[in-house]
Amino acid sequence: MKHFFYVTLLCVFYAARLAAQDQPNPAPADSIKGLVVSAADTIPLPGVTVTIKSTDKSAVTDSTGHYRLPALSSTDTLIFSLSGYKSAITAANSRKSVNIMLNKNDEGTGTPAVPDSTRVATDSTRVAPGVASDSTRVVAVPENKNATAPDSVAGKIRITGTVTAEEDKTAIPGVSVLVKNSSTGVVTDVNGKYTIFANTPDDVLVFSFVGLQSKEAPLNGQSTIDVALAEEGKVLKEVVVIGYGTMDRATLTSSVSTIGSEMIDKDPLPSVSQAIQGKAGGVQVTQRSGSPGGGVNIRVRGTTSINASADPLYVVDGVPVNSTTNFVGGGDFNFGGGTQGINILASINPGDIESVEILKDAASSSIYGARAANGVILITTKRGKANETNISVNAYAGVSEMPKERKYDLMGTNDYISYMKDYYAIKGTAIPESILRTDVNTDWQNKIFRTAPMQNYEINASGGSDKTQYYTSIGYYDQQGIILNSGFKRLSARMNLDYQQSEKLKITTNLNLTRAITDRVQEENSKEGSTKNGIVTPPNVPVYNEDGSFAFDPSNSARENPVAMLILPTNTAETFRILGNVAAEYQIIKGLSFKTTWGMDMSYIDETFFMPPKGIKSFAAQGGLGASRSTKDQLWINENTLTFDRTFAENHHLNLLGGISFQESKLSYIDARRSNFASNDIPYISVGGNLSGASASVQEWAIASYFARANYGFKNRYLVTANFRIDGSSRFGANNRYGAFPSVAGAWRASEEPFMKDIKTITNLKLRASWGITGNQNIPNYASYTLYSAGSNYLNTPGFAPSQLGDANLGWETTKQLDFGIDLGILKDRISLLADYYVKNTSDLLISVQTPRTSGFSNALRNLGEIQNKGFEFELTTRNLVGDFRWTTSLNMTFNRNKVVSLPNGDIFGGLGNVNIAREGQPLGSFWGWQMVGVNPQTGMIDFQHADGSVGAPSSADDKRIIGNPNPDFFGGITNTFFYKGFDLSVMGQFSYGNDVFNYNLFTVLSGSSDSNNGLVDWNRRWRQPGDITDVPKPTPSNLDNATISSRFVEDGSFLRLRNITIGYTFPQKWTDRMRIKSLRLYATVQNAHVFTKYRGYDPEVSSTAGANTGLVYGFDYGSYPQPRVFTGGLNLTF
Amino acid sequence: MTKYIALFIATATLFSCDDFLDKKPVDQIAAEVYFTDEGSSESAVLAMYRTATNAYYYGQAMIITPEFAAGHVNNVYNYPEFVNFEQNNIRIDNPWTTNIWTLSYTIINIANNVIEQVPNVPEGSIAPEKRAQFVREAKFIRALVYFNLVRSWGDVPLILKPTPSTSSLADLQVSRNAASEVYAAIIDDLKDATNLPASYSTLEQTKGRATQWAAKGLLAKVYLYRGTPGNSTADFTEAANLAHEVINKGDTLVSDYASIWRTKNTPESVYELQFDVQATNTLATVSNPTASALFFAKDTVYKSFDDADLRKPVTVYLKDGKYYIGKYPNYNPAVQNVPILRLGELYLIYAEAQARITGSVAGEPYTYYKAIRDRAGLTTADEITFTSVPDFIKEVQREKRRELMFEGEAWYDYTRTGLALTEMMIVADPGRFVWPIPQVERDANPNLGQNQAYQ
Repeated sequence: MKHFFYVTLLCVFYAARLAAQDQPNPAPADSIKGLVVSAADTIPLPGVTVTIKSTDKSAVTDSTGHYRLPALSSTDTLIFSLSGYKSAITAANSRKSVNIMLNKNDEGTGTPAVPDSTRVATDSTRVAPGVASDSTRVVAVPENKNATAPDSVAGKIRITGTVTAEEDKTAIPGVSVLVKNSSTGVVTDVNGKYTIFANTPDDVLVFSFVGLQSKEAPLNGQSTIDVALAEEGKVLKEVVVIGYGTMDRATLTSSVSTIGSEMIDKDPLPSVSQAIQGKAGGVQVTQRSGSPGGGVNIRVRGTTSINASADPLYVVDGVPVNSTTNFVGGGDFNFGGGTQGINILASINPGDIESVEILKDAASSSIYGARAANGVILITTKRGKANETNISVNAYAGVSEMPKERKYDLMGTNDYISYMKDYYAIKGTAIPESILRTDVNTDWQNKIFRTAPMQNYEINASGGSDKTQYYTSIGYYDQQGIILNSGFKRLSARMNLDYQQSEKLKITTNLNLTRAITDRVQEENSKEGSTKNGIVTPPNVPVYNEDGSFAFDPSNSARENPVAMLILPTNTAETFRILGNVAAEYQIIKGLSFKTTWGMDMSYIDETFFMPPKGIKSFAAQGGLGASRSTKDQLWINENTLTFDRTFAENHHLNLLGGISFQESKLSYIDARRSNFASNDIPYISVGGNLSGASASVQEWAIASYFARANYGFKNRYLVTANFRIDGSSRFGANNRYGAFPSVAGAWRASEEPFMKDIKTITNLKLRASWGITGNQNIPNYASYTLYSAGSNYLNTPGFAPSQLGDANLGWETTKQLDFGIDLGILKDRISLLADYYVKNTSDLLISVQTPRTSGFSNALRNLGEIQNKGFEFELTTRNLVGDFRWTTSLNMTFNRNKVVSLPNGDIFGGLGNVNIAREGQPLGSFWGWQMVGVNPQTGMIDFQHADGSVGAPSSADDKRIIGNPNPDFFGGITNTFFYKGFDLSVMGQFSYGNDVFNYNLFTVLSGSSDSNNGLVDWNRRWRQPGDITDVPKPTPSNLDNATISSRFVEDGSFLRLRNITIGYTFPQKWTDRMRIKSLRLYATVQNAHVFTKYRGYDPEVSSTAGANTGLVYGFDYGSYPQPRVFTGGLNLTF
Repeated sequence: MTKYIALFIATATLFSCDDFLDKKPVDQIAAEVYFTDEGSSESAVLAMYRTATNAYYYGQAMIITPEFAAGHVNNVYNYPEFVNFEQNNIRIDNPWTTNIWTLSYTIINIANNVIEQVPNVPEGSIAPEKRAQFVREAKFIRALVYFNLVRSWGDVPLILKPTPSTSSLADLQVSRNAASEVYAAIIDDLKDATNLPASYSTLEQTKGRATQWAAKGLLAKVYLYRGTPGNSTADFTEAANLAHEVINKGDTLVSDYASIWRTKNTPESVYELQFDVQATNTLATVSNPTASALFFAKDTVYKSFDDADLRKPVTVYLKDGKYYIGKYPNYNPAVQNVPILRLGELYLIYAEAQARITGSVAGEPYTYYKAIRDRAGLTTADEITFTSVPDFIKEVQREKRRELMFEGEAWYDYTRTGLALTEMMIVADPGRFVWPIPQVERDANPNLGQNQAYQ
């Protein structure tokens, strides 16, 4: 029922907004703005100096040819000048908007001329030629010869008329009037009147004006044609990056979400992943950890895999990068700081990103074949533009804090002592004196969390000439973590170059260098992870003894001091990454071009790990442990494509692509470790006394691909796309090395049909359908082999043991996806909608099956079983208010349903204690355990439901059942942005509903089985004597029955997070002019302002455990690093 | 330019993709091509021993878990997963039963591969005596692991062939074999292993790898376990003969009991698992008086020793109010060896088996029992005071409990004769002599069933 409530609420919210819109917002003309275009081709001209005559006030047009000048008197005159063009002069005459067209020096006369050839373009971005046009239409058009045209021309028919605005019926001067398919054209005069001479009575007149919809009017023998032009919705051409090319959103047949730089630039985000979060339909981004630089889980349209990684493929400027989002140290060691790993995407500075595209359906993603089943994320970085120099500085600084309300409510000393007295009474032994200490009351959560600073600075410069353009940037990001001693620093530099060597040959290079340092801490899954076991240290144990040394729990000699555990160890990772490519594009003939790209992605990761001998109990016996590991992850790729693009017979547009691609990757590392250190002082292995291990490893994989795509469009109305890719991967068995991945898609732009033209409310309507096959190859290298591995040495002699049970038939995971979509624009695109329904069937799942251990192996990868994801997603943008006060709302929601369709070998389990299950007919990763009934009033123990209907202890496995579902009913994000006179405000919310979380932390704070653990204040309601009715059992020394994996620890993980609130102010032009800068914006942001949730843990967005980023192990809170609340202030400055 | 492009595409197409995509493991070897010569065969043999040093086997679990079951040790946290063994109330999801089960079959699979593959290594690539030796070493290890399995769980799957990579999952879902079949297979293996050499080139090799003495000693123990009092004395006869042979191989009990653990590879050891800085002993790291201590001795253990007993301070000692396990003293680096079979135990095996065969305490049974007590510095009641063989055997077992304290033996020895019901268990239920089949294993294999007491 609740879903309906929420959905209804949202609908009401929307309806109210729509009703409130369309308020006219006349604003005083305190500035003048406009567009400058080239007369030759009506392309916007950047870099044009616009000066107010006889003043020092001036402005320069931006990359889209727009300019803005501060308020001036109504009599002033504007001068437009650009090198290579003739200057133009026009009077402002109280206009708010002055658009103008500039002629090149060598073209015609200085007087703006009427168009003398070809048709007038229907493109709305074009400007009526020859005059300064004006949207307020109260202007005299100077020297308009047409107003005094001759009465007749021999053999021609004289047509006259008035052009008015449909909206307010006022006359429009400067409208271009053309006789279709002729070179005859005129412009309306100050009263909107025109006179033109047509050739025949059957001619058609075309009326066009910037910002208004063009209109064609057949003469039909009439001599007076009055027309009213309607305002055109802002249908800007939206270019979408797709695999191996770009497309106009209007003619796209597939499902692609775009996140533009305007959604990334303004907020202080640590990495690309956060930029995607809550902004794209069908894309679920889960912050696995709040640790700075930590990893995320990204799921595009549900989880399609049980054990193979469900991460999408990341392609940065055409290079499919080493997309292991989380570099988790392999092997047996504590590298990796718990299990959160390093987020390799964090090595890209978000400020450099122009756009992020997410390819969701098979039609868009299957061009990446075997790696596309989890979706493809294309990251495109910024490039320089010719004749437009920009230098901008972005800087922000702030603080992160642990949201206080998210802390666990743990017992203080008094409650703890009372609880422990009961505990020892039940245990039947004397209570240790140390547990009764009353003079200390430590809040351990306050001791391990801190308020930490963060800062970010970046400078970028871009520009260039007609031949060479550049974009270059340097950035520094430093975030200290809210857990002691954790942090992330990144220094990044980028250089993107474009060089047009000749008309035919273009060379581009991209180069990104990053150095990142991650200071990691023990987070989870370790004996004393601060957020798991650290917080249950008894409250009557101090942090420090009186002599300043660390204090330890006297009742539990193995317990670490949580603060010492954070401060004393060293666990850093230094990553140096080079990511870049070089491409040459050669136009063989018009429409046919060849492109070759060589790219590489190299990461060098140096890790230093040190557990000092003093102060860390678990490493004391061996005298501390130190280790170093050096990892090199290399990838190179060569791609060659031929592209053919041509329009035939006006209406047939054909775009063909064919290509081959080779990619090879090599991962190697060496590590060494020593124990027995003399002191805590030097954290490097050279100081250790015993060489306790040294090893090295090398792994390689390669993929070879052949691909082709055809796009065909008829009248831009009927669109068809077909893709085909063949991938060969070294990861699969010799019997199954190549896979084929086809897809087809069609779209119908109904709004382009003549009969739809009259439906004024619908400005854009496109129906899409697609089907295709994609694959998943995210499994370990050499998984098809049955292997012997070294390392089992004995008596200092090498030993080799079987390490893996392979399968020579191992092949792809195959996803067949069907997608139906709609693009809709209503009320001049005041409301725009992208909506999709999809069905994804994944078969031949790559499953790491738990084999019976009697085989000598615990698991083996096999192709088995099927999963289905189906769902509905939409992205809705409404421009609620336009004008001076602008309000835009973007909402996206995804309703995904996941189901395991078949598992021939029965249930598959995963996660700690097999808490996650894959079972036919159930959602993947459902929680599996005993069902709690309640606390037995007689015994004080928890009763669990038995299969036979009785209740009691959790003793028989047959009584286990499904106790929760980690998959949300729906999730999404909502962003509201407001602009008013230089002020901008954006509020972004992110939500998830109906997902359960298995809160394993509750095990720690509620198990009641340990001799000296603190717990939740819930224990104050504990069962004390027969007859007590309560939900908290009695303490149970050395008995885990109450703490078994059960519904007791399953919690509702639904949440609504205020992820980002930003308020900014852009200084007015007159200020910035005075300061000789282009623009200046100041802003303040609160990230993660509040989470509305019933979940009791630190954050309902949780990690899985053990670094597993697989589909099965999911929705599991094992002491995750909490997400901080971050306050920042910053500035964007452009010169 | 067009020409170059055409040339480029032609070259790229000619470029063989199969070679490009054929990425063979770099630092690992495919199983099919592993066994090629003597060196690779020996490496596979050594991996068996190394795997047995794992913390989930003799490196900790295979010792400490039965010691918990015997009620000899404490855990610092009183973790239920350990304490449940002492309470005879082991949950089906207990991690330690799972760990030991998993490691057991991992070692068995390594051994099965050696036994199956080494005979196929080409002639000339391996010396004939080495070929035979490797197979017999593998049989010794396989027998040792099955012996621990059958003692811990009763009926267990008996798998004597390596797991082929072509296995379907259904093939792997095996059923359990009767304990008697498992014993028969263990005895078969050990009989073959008694043909092993008596020694190798170095002391470490001789003690650390299977020899004919190790095989004979273990076989004696296996016969003792299989023997059913009152039925036939055949097994006890075998046990006695083999034990006697090993005892008389030329080594004697060491006079300094402590030296068995403080030094390596004493004459006392018949078979001793070797640990070094690469293969450290986890139990040693966590059982000594350092901040890392997790396991402690119980005060009842301390009290079970006569103060005059020379073994007492070696076995258990009091420090800062805590009783510590004394038999794993080398913790930094933790290179503590684990004697798996030593003469002291064989003396007591011989004493018991001989008493059962002859139906009399007099003579050798008493002499060998007394020899152990003599070394401990204890006086022993006269032979004449032992009037009943069953009573004498109980005394031998009690002596064995002290002699082999913290060596993972007492629980199995007491459940073997049922003495555990009266002198060890909290829940006196013979069904709980064995542990539950791990639930994760039953999840993966529905054919296993569960031991009666845990159903």
